[in-house]
Amino acid sequence: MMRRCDGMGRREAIRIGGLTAFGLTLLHGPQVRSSLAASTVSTGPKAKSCLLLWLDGGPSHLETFDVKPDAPIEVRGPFSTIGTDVPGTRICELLPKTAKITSKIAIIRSMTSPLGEHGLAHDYLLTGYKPTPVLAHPSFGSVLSKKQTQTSPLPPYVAIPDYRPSAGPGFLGPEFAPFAVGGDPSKPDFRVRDLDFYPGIGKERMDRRRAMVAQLEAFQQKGDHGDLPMDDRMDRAYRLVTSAQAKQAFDLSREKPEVREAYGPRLFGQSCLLGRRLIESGVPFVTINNVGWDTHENLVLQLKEGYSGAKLGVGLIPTFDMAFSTLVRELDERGLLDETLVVAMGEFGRTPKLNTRGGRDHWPRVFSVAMAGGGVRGGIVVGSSDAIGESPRDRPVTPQDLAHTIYSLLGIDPTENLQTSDGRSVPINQGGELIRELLT
Amino acid sequence: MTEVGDTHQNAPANFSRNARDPRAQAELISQAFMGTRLQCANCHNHPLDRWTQEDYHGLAAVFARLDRGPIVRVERRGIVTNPKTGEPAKPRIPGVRDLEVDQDQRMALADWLVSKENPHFATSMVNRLWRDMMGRGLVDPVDDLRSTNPATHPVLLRLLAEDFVENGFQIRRTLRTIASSHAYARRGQAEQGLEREDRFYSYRQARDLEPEVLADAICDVTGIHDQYGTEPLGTRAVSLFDPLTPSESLDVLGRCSRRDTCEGDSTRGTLPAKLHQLNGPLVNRKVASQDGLLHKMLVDQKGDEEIVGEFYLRALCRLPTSEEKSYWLSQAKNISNEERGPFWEDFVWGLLNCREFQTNH
Repeated sequence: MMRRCDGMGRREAIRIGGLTAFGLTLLHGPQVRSSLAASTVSTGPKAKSCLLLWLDGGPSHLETFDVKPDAPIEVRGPFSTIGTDVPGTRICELLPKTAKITSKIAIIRSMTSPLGEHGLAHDYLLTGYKPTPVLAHPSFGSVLSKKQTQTSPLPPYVAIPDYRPSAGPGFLGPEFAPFAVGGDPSKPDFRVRDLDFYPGIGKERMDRRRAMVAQLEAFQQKGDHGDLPMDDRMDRAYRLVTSAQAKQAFDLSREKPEVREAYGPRLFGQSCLLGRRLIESGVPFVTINNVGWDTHENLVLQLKEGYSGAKLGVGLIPTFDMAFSTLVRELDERGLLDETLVVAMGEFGRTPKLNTRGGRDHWPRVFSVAMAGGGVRGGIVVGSSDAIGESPRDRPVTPQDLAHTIYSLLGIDPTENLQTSDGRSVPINQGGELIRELLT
Repeated sequence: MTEVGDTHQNAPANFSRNARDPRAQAELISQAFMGTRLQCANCHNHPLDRWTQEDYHGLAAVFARLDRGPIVRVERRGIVTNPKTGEPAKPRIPGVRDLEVDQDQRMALADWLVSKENPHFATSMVNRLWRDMMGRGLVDPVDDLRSTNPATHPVLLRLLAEDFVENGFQIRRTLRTIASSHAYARRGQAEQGLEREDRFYSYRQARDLEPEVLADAICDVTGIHDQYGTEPLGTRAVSLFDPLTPSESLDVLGRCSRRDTCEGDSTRGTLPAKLHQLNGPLVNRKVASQDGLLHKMLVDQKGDEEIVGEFYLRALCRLPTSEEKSYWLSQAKNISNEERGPFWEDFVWGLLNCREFQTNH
């Protein structure tokens, strides 16, 4: 697909053109923006760390946090709704565990974006910038890695199990890329590549090797071989592989079986558990990449059942429900929720009307994001969508606003500049405003 | 660039398959062969350079008729629309002239690219060679040649480019010229007060070895080769033709794929690469191998002095100073016989993980 500088794809242009033809106004016009509370004042840092549950493909807002029980069947979809521990807030019946901790989370129901193609929308949601072919913007975790000094031997930005290019370092360069653990933490043989010593080499020999390298380099500095600056990248690697504590953070077998079960047995649940362990051990930003939310057909199978004829649903939403609710509850019980920001989102929502295959297609015009902890007020709903979940009804929130807020909560001034390799100054966030209602 | 046909039979035609559409191909060609980023001129005239939207879409139009399937061929029709006019863009050599409609425009473009008329190709090539040798381009980044990003040494860049054209684009000749220059031979010690100088070649700056060079050097020092796919054992990483030849080490170290120009987007020097050097088989397997040079020397009862000298020479291309030699010999003296193997393995491992080995300096 052709990409244009405004980041709008051909299909997107057609779609928006089509909507306007039906009499709907564009939501990004100046009249709407100016009605928002105008403020760029940043908040004090609340969150020490952030867990981003990236629901890749675009989760249906109508089957998760923005249910429409009174809408016609083709809008409300195949599932019913349940009440939560917040009076008046209802969510999808497939989220019963989340319904018990809704008082801990904030739901934004009026996210809105013009970008309905995965790649473009990944960029927008993960960096806060609409994509442009001339500059790749850094993602949240990469900016945090750049702005913050990491004292723990663990890397500052970890991706489980891997990450989309949009969640990468952009113009900050590979040094600020997430460290991808690579494997599936739910597997018994899960290992982070090259984290463990080579067979036959213990800590003693690694220490001797490191001392030998230090000695070799000390001699070399005296010689006429030039200034070979100490390689702090190698130093970081040493510190990581020789720190038993850091390596234990990756070892899920240290968790009680009932804790592991509570998160759910497969990739996503165990990734969330690993994310919690890493946060506790000093990793400030963890992205958990949960793929499969691009549900163009058969919502019942994909969102609920997981496989055909399943008695107990193991589809995307029950899996998410277990992991997300356990994560928030555990962080709370451990006293970590106040300083840990949890964000659950994908790149867009799904079409208000079911398609002929029982699925929903891409819909960026309105969608939902759930957040918890790290200075976010629990039990609230920000904004709302219209009767059929087609457009924001009030309080539209853009991905720029969301990025601005995430940076602010993490103690990063969104108005500060970053430098590209050719010396251009680019602000961390542009055009975003703090979502004040979210803050405690 | 001009090749067509069945890509299974005619490999160079694959070049056209690397780009997904004419515009992407225009961007790749301008970046690779002209050292120029035309992207800005997609939507508006380039704000910091001379390129217009006509240039951008005109260059794309040269490739408008290309079918990028497994069999690359030129179709009878195909256009690129200039969004400014809404009209089909006229095929064009950027900044120079429109191309005749009835000629083979790709051939005309290719002829122009390597002609004396085109200053960009030679300049960008010698600039890249300079970067490869010196660690930084005379224009940096190397794919961003433009009037508003001037060279640190414009006369030098011009002379190198002229020499490159006059001598038939011989890469070796340019490399030799650079390698025998005073700039290349500078010592690594910065003069006092110049430690932060990073572009005027007042001293030699260390730079990391490329992944392939590093892998080969490790094989050379240890005497153990890596297996690259089905290539014969002993094949050197630098001579691998296909960047997809299986090799976990080269992948982790961050080799460049053939798809792009590899400007700053590789994984070189990242944490996974460093972990691999510490804990992966890249170094560990080779220093511990009974077939490797170290263990052969140990079996042959070679003395400590000979081992130190041999591996200093192999890894660092120099003999140890007397201070270094006596240090290592005194360390080895306290090692029991059965501990000799592990001790010297660790020593060789140390040589392969020190900065003097891992950098060009």
